[in-house]
Amino acid sequence: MKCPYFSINQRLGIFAIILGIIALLAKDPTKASFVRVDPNRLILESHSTSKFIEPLDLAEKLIAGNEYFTIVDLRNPNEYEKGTVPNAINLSAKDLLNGELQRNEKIILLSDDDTKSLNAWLALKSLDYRNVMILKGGYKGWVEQVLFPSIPADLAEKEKDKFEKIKQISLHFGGSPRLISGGQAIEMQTVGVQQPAMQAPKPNVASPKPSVQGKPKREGC
Amino acid sequence: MIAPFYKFGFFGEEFSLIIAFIIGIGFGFFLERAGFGSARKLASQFYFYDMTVFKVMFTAIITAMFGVFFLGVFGILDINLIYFTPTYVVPQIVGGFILGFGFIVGGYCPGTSVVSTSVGRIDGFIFLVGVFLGIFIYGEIYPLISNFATSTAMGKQTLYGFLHIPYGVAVFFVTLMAVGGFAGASRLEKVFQKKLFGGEK
Repeated sequence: MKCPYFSINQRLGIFAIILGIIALLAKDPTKASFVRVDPNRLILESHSTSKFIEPLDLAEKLIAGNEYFTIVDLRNPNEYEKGTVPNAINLSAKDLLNGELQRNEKIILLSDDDTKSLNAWLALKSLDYRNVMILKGGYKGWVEQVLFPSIPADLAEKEKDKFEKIKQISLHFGGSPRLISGGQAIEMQTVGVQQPAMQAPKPNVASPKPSVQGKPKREGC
Repeated sequence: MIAPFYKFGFFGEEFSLIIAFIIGIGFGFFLERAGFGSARKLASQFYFYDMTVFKVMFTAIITAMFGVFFLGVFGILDINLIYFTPTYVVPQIVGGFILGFGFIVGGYCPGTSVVSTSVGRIDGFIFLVGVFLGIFIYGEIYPLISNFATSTAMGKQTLYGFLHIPYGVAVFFVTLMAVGGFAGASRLEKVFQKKLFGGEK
């Protein structure tokens, strides 16, 4: 079809401008909602315990450093400043739902208590975030099980290996395992380690995601 | 299904590499068809008598822009999940100058050198060897320049976010810019062809 008035370039230009004008009037696609959640799946998942991760398991993953996940500390900034899990970022419940996190990210939530984390978990799940877990016991659990684990003083030979591992993990994070005998702490093990590193990690200005662990995502050109 | 498929977990990393390969072949094919396998064609851009590079690239940009915007409007693509290369202002300006310098000296940019090699041009192949040498050297000296390479970080940036204007308005102005750029480039071509070749080319 030959158009007597405009060349093909001119017609394409006009077409582009028309699309531009439509875009001017269209709604903002970044604010569109894409949530399509299956309520049955959500109910099933909310009853399962597999969404919890034990503090020691998280500690092992952090040491191994070969998994990519984002740890989100939901407590208030004051508590976060005092101490948190290594590489955790501090987000309020509001930030959490503002698209700070990506849907396919592996997310681990922690808080003072599991109820707050569970609420956040449910909110994220209902927004179709795929892989959300909760640190069992929150920051308290981390302190009790990773930083200052209680280790029985009178150990059977069989159990020694297990507790040696816990001790090593604790020391790795700058904690100090406590030896317990008959329910009483008898000694504070410090083995050349000073007070545990209780400060929050410095916010990394250079990188928008300080929580990136291990293998970086293969993306971009 | 909602795009981006990879982000929504419709396929894994291995399959995404196959998709990338297919898209790459398509990209290379159209670069070749636009004449970008030839260093003469590419370099003529810098002497303003043949603005094909500018036109093809700007066409690609606004086509992609319309695609992303309208797929988002129609609820097929979740724009918030698209990966952005983070912005590092000063290092990227320096990088741009280095790339531009290499472009004008060698006659290719990295993508077009691959295109030119695959159609059998020796200069393209030598350029490609240089590209890999450069990548190797960059990797080796990275520890020394990593502070600079990650300075002036601005994270994920968009034109509309940076200028605090609605997305649609940004799309409209980029369209005007592209159409204006096209008209301007065509005029520039005519002027410089006349100047350099006396109106015959």
